[in-house]
Amino acid sequence: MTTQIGLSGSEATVPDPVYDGPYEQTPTMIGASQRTLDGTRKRHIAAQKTTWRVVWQGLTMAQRNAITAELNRKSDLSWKPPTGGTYTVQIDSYTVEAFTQDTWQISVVMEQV
Amino acid sequence: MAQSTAGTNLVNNWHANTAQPAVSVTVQWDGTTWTDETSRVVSIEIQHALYDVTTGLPMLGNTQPSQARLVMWNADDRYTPDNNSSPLHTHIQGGIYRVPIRIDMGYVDVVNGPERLRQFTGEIETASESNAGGQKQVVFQCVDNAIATLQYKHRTTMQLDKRPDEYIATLLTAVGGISTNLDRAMGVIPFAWCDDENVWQECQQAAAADGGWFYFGKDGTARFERMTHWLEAADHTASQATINAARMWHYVDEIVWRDVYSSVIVAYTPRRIGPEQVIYESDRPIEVPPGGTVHLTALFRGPVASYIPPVCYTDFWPVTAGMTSQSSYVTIAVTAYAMQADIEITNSNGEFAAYILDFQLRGYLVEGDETQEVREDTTLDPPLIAGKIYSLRENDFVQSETQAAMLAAFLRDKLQRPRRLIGVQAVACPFLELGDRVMVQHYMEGSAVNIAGYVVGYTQRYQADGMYTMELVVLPVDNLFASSNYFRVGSSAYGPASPALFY
Repeated sequence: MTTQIGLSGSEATVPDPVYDGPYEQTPTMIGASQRTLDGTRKRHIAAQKTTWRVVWQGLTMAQRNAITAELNRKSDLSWKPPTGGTYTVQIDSYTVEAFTQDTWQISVVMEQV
Repeated sequence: MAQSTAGTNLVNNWHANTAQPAVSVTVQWDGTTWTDETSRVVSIEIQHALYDVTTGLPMLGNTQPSQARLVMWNADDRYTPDNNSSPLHTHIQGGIYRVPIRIDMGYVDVVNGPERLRQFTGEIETASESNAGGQKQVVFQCVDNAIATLQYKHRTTMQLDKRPDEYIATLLTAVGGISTNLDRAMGVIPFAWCDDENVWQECQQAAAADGGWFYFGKDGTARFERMTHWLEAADHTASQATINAARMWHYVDEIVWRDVYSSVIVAYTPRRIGPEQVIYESDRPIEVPPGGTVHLTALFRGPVASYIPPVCYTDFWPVTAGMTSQSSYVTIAVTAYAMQADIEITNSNGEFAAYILDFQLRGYLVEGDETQEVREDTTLDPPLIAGKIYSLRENDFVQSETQAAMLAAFLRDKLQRPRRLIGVQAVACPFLELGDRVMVQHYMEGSAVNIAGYVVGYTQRYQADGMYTMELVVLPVDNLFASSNYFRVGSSAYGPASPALFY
């Protein structure tokens, strides 16, 4: 598994995120629905998009800086999750926390464009 | 008429419980190439209407152009005229105005992919930018292809005994670039002319004089539909879509008394061609310099059926300052219209100026007689309403008793009863057009009630991450026409249906 994130064409290779707990990949139907007079649900879907919640733990200072440098870009990012595939995403939010005395944890929520 | 769905599955997909709207918005920024702007669409609203509260029933003749309102994402200032780096800058630096636009909408089919039909053809009339909380958007307000006729002033020669569809065709040809689908009208207009008047209004008046209506369709085609149109084509005689309780979420049923009248009066002013007379006189001598040409516009005393080319020494005296005849040097060219003429006077004498004395034009004025009226009273006994008269007096194209009688009877039949108007909100059916027959099914005390009606109002709304919906105004078929052969020749005793009864 190789995980990458960053500007398309110059993505940074980053450590694989924690994969056995907090990692979430949520496909979502983008659209709206309306109940008709007889109660039938009519739903119009614009597209299916995926939201990721990704946590890296035990990052070194250098790794932390490499990831946050990418997350701070004010543009769409290319995301290659450990599960495979390449997606264009936008960062909704991220949190940097101390994980141990010398390592860091980053939690990111990102959404497919 | 409903748009063709051949080769698509739109007939089933429009009311599927789960559907994926398919949208395409293209704009002709440079006047030739269609550019896809779909990815920037935030929302769309398109309004087509033959009826609204101010114009009344369509057979009263006053339709409005269709309109579209698009909200577009503009975070990168693509549509901002002041943005020098916009790829559109060359085309929009002076502002966005009268830019052709097309909107196609439909649904994605699991096999065929996106299946769209044209929903609007027109031009962007205004573009207003907004920046609220960092969210930059542009709103395009668009008008259908009527925009060209709304702004076009035209003048014609006198059109004698032309059917309204022929007269409308003449006007639209002058505007240029407009495709047409015009019914053969029921009657003729004895004298029709246009004198720097608005082509849209002229077409509306000509259509109304025949009991029909004029508007532009989704595809941008100009349409004249005669009074019997809804009795003729399959789109109007058979239901094109059923809107039932599983497809709509709002139902309104209103009985409209506003357009109910006990009598109809239609005024007409007979006109005839008068004797030869002077139709224009110049109030001063006209000086034409040596070897020069003078242009002038002659405004006639009234509408003119035809003019007589000016004759030297009868209609003008060309002389030098010393009163020497210049008849062999002066030529006069006249381009005449019904109410005015462009006159070009050329002096081929390179040494002396020519003075045109007592210039006049002779011709044949179209004279109006006293205005007459045809009155038709309600045939209902007892009448539903008393003393309320619909008076049609302002249409200059109603000039004969035949026209007035036809209109009065037609309007009396339409206006003597209150009309129900059904309003529904439902998932959008993209192939419906104005005038299409639909079946609205609602439930009363648990039983389904079917109401057949014509679509006289059709508003579509689309949100990029929401629903694609429609709001219909439906005029029920019941009692709108006294019979299915109303005003039609040949449906029974006369063989196959023919073009016109009143001719």
